[in-house]
Amino acid sequence: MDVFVQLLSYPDVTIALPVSDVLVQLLTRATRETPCKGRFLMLFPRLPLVGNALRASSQTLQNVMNNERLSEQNSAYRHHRRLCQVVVLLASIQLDLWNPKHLPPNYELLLDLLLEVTAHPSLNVTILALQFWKRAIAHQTYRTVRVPPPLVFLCARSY
Amino acid sequence: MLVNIALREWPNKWPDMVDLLLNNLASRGLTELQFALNVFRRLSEDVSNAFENADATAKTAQPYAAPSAVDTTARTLPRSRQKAIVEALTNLARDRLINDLVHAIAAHSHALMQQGVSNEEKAAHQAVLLMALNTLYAFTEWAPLEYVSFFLTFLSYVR
Repeated sequence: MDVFVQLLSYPDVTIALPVSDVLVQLLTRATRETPCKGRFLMLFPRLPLVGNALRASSQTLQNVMNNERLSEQNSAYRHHRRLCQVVVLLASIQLDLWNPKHLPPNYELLLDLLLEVTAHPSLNVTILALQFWKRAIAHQTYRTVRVPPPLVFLCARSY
Repeated sequence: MLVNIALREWPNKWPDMVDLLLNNLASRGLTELQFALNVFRRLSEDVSNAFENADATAKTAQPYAAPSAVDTTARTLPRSRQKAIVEALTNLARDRLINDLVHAIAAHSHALMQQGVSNEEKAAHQAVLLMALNTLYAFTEWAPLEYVSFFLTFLSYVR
């Protein structure tokens, strides 16, 4: 797994992009197919590597933005967008399997990354996170709690 | 051409194709391994396209596309052949291909990241790595999630 996730930060985006494509494909399917969902929580210990890749790709994107307009045709942008999707999809899976007594490792980092995605300058990226927050607020598990746990967690942390 | 033959003959009339490609051919060198993986990538993409086309046909009631004598695709094959190929590819993914791909990804990414690798060697490793990732992606599109996500549970042990 470490090898696989490390490739997300590989300097050549032609290698890094198919890795993020595979992860997004698997995670997207996992959000729809219940039986294997728990398996994807194994990605949480590697979340710092995902975070590093996301920040590195963000930096690359800043450099690219100076020279050209961003679009899905641009591999660096596509890779960056996939990494944001990985964060949001992981959060969605964790939300589906929410258990306040057993938070996964690096849960706080996940929330930090989610906030970064939410505040992203590109609306195409921000909308991914907003879709997650919308799901979190409407999640049936939290009807009795009134405020969804990720938000509680964030609010508690800010004090 | 090999993909065309496989679509017509494998697995019923060509049961040793997997052995021929993944054992005999792939062990000869990096180019041969890349070629062998490409055959399975193309087969998997063909199956995935056939699924999408079947969905689209069901929705729009498009006329049946007559098979071409020169170029075979899974879409133009009789339903029983499609079923046999999907079953064979699914079994292959479960039994060995995903495992082989993961080991190829780990081995060639390690080789890439090592110091003192010549540019030629680097290009060869990069080409195999890219092919392995693209093949994995082709399978993640349609193969049972249980099999294609299995690597997440043991990749951490691959060093």
